[in-house]
Amino acid sequence: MNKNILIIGEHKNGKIKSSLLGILTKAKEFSDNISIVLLGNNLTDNKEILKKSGVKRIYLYDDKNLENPNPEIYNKLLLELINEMGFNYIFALASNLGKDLMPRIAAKLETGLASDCVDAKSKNEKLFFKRPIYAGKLFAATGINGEPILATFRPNILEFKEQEKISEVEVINKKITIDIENLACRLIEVKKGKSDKPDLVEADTIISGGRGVKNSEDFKLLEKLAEAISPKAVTGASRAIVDAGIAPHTIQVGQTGKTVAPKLYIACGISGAIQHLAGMKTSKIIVAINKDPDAPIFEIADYGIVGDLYEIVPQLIEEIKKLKTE
Amino acid sequence: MKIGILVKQVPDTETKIKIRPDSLGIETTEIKYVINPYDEYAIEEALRLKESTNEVQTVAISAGPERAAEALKTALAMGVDDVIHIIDNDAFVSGDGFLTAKALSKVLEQESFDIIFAGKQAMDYDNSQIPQLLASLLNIPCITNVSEFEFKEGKVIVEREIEGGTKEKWEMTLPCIVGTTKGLNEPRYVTLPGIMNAKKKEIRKITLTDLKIDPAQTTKTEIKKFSLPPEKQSGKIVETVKELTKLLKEEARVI
Repeated sequence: MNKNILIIGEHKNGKIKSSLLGILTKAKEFSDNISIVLLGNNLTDNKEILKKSGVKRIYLYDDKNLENPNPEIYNKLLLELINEMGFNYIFALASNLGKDLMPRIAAKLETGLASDCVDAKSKNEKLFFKRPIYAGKLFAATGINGEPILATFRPNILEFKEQEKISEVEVINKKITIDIENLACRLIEVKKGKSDKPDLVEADTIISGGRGVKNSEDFKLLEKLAEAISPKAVTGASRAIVDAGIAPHTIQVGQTGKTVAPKLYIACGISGAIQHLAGMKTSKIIVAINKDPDAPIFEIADYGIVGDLYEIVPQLIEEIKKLKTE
Repeated sequence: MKIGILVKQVPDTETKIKIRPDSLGIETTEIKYVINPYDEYAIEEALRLKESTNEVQTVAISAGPERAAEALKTALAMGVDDVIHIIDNDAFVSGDGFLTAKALSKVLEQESFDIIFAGKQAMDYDNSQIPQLLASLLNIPCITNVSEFEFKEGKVIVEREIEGGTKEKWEMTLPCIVGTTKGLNEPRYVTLPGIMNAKKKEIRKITLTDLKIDPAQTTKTEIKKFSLPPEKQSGKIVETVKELTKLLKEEARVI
């Protein structure tokens, strides 16, 4: 059973995003015939990482008109490719782009899409996707009644494992053959985010603040902790302090903010309301720092320390700095 | 101008959700239902457009079981002009995106809206698919996750944020779909006059049979089993920061 699998790739500056590498490993569980497609401008063939991932080929749509993803254009190109190659499974990240594209593809192909999945298993030649529902209170094992089978995966949730065998990767350069004028949907302005740190949904380490953080000046303490751990660590916030104007909405974690799955999530002064948990429950290691020993956050934390974050966080910064110089 | 608003009734986030003994669904007896919070931003934006523009008619549509009529009544009480209920007590319960979108698309085609507002996702199944599925089925543009909206010179201009804090401004021709998110506006509360007015209005009902849709053929996803998240092993409460740091390094290996 060698299913023909396509992964819709995403890149940063031409390089495949690390938050989707786990999807490549997952696909390998189901088949050896794996292709990835990348659309954009100034792409690289990514052979180095793909050789170690068991991917057989990469389709490159490299054109300056593809610099900023336009769902209309990307969708047309992908449908062309899908119709040409007849894939059985199509996987993508549950990112902004993945969420833009995959339902459009599902509708055109009249098939089903399992979105924001945290796992997938094959049983009796059928695929079952595990996805969180009711704000992560439950999981649903979802099957698709249609072909091809479509699924998007939560960024960072799947583990990437290098394959033992290095495989050869075929690079196929595709031409853009569609009309890029006369679009019903036009990007007219882009204001790039200032930070070169990873986005919350792609970050490996998040230091998050809640009501315990009294003002935006104090929030900088969390930024210092992030820096102490890693240059790529970022800060997050609960809805309470975003609503209070202490942190921007862009870093809000939770049901009405972002859903994250980092390796390490340190919750400082966050009580652990259901709506917040919905956004970070699938983090690998959760650390809770809170004055209140009964705070619900301790129920889902792997490690907890009862205390005032204003005392604990500076100590933590010290200890981590000590660790790094040892 | 005619504006469509897609609305869904979902369990309140505070409600405890219990799995049925057969694991094939949830216990519905004690659930408190509300209008999907993201749809409230959709209703509000449609109403603001109505208030700032001449001759705008607003219509809210919901695909769901009988109880979904409550969500439509809330929409009426907020000030929406008319409502349509695509009613089926079984077909929509599992939240299959394709079926819901297919049913909605038939009504949307008939109604000929200029702009369709929809919440970017429903807080029960969290699929985030409807606006995009509809874009494809209706062949019209759609931008979702919209936090700023403007109707200018016959075109829709929206702003949304994507990864990395990057903000994008898009221009769409009519007809188009706007997927709404938090930050777009502050939804108004229902008023007593609104509720009284809503009582006088009729809810137009349409069935899947009316739309010539066979749910068995049109349902593309199926939930085989509902389960609880794995019991997390009791976490360790540590006494000192020194201990915590050591555990994070040596046991968890995250720093």
